[in-house]
Amino acid sequence: MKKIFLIILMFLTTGCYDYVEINDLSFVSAIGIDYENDTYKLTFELLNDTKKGESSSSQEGYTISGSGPTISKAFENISLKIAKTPYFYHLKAMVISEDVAKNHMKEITEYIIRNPKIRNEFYMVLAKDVSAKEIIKNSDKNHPIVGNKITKLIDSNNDGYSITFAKPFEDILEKLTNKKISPVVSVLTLDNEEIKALGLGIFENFNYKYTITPLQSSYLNMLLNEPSQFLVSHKYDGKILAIELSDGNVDYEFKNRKIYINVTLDAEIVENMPEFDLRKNEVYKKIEEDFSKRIASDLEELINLFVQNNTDAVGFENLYYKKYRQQNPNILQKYDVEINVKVSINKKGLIYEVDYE
Amino acid sequence: MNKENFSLAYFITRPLFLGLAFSLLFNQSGSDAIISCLLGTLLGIFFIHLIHKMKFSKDNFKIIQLIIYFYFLVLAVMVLETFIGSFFLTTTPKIIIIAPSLILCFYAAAKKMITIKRTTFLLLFLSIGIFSLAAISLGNFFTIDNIAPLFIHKTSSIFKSAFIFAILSASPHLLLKGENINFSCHLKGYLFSCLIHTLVCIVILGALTPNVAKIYSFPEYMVLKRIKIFKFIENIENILTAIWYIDIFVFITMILKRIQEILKSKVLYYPSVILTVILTTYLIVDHYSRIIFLYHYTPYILLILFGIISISALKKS
Repeated sequence: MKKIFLIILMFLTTGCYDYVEINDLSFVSAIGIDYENDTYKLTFELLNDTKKGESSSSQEGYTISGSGPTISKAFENISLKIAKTPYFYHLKAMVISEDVAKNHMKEITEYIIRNPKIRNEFYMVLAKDVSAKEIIKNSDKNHPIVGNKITKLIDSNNDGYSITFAKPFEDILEKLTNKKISPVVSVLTLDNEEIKALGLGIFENFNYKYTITPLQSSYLNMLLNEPSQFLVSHKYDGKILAIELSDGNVDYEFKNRKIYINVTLDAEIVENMPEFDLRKNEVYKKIEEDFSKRIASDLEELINLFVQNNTDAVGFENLYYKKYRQQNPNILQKYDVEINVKVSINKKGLIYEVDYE
Repeated sequence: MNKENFSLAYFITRPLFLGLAFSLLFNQSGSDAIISCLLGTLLGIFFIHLIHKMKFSKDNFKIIQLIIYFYFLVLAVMVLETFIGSFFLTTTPKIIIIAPSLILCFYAAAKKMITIKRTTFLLLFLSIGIFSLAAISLGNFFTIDNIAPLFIHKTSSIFKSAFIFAILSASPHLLLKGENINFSCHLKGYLFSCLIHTLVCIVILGALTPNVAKIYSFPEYMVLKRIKIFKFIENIENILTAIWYIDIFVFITMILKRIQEILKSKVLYYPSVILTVILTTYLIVDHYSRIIFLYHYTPYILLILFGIISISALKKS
């Protein structure tokens, strides 16, 4: 009797009612969102396992587009075109157009975080000077899945030159809900039909404002104390000396209505076209001093850009609040900023010099 | 016997936190929810002490006990159906969601108390193991900066949250009245459970941030979605939520056990429980406005019920 009862119970507890066969699921790898003529235009990249011969198969992606007057209607309409049930749990990237980022970020965010079927661990990127659809459709032989391509591009650019924001949407949501820091997203464009990282896009609340250059993006990642590694070059009589900066440590102090930013960086000489004698002690001191001034000047320019546009991508207001437990809105507008940079050259590459004569 | 009592006390502290306590705490006091957990634990010790002092003469308190137990049943059914219906079985009718769990709990409640205690002792290791795995996996996403600063909310909000923590953690211990559990064992189980809750609270705030934790209905589930082990093990939140399901299972089993002891007759016991579950499903769970009412007022309803039963029981003794 107990065994019969347990067998009946087993069938009841398997949760089959909602079950969808895996072959009936359509895995969405990337989503593109554009907005034109009062309509949301969605592009899904769907995974397609194709069999080649008896033993091998390859994964490819194909795209489907749909539209609707609201974001939820657009999702519904596009799903009607897919023969299978869309499955968002493996979503890698969401690309939004400039118009969407400027004017419709609230609607997109609300839809995403309210939907239990979307995991917030995808990368959100902004498509600049192109539509999101063009980016989603940019697959090639080496990268058949655009979602993976975008993810790898952002990760490698972040590890290499720190010009992207390699954090999932959950981290962007954290900044969107925290009024004391301006959210940032990675910006992509198409350059000769290749996807290229342009830098970081800065938001003010839920509205996209502007994009900063790749070098400024590297500086911003450094100011955010994210692991960063990037190149800075300086001209000496028209000849380039380039150093690669890493292991940046940034401290912030708030005193006498001034923000003190103290930056320490390690540097490696990667290019020595002025042919400085790297066997001399005073040469290193000169290079360190020159680059410290150069980086301080660049940082000042970046901070001024934030002040002019009323954005605070570093989150000074948030830092002040965490330190002093007091609100201090528009702190960047009210306080002066003093930047102290200390560059230490700890590597110079494998050689001292090349005798070009 | 002590270790089984300890594990029973541990599980009975936990069930009203899924979808209720954590959400209320974060909404009320944000990052100061940690302080509320600590203060709530101290207040909860007082409630546990009161429960131990109470002397129930079953004849006199049957009605009040039944009201409390059926209210617990309503809450457990509501939380389970809402949680599973929101994330896992979104198109399944709610009554089908609850039916297998109810059958399992009926079966478990039909067993002797010693069997239930031994089962909870075994499940204790599973619960702690899953919690440890989740906590360690979330270490990458945890930032102490997200929790700071503390003591930024109003004192009244912090104390209100502490009261919510205390009443939702301690009131289910009324189900243990009648078991021969010594006070120190009971208290140890309660304190250990509160410690785990406090750690869960810290991990949620550190990984999600107070602003994000506030907007979700089930922040304790949403934080598990962040887990990514070795860059390729992800989407394991559905496995890790077994920890919450075990709590509800033990809770409903104890409720049914107590109702069975009072009603005795099967003619009254089975129909009353089934009717309660059906009415909860169709009258409460299918109407979100009623869920929201219970969400906001459950701590106060439990306080009133707890107050009535403790005043009556202490007066008699």
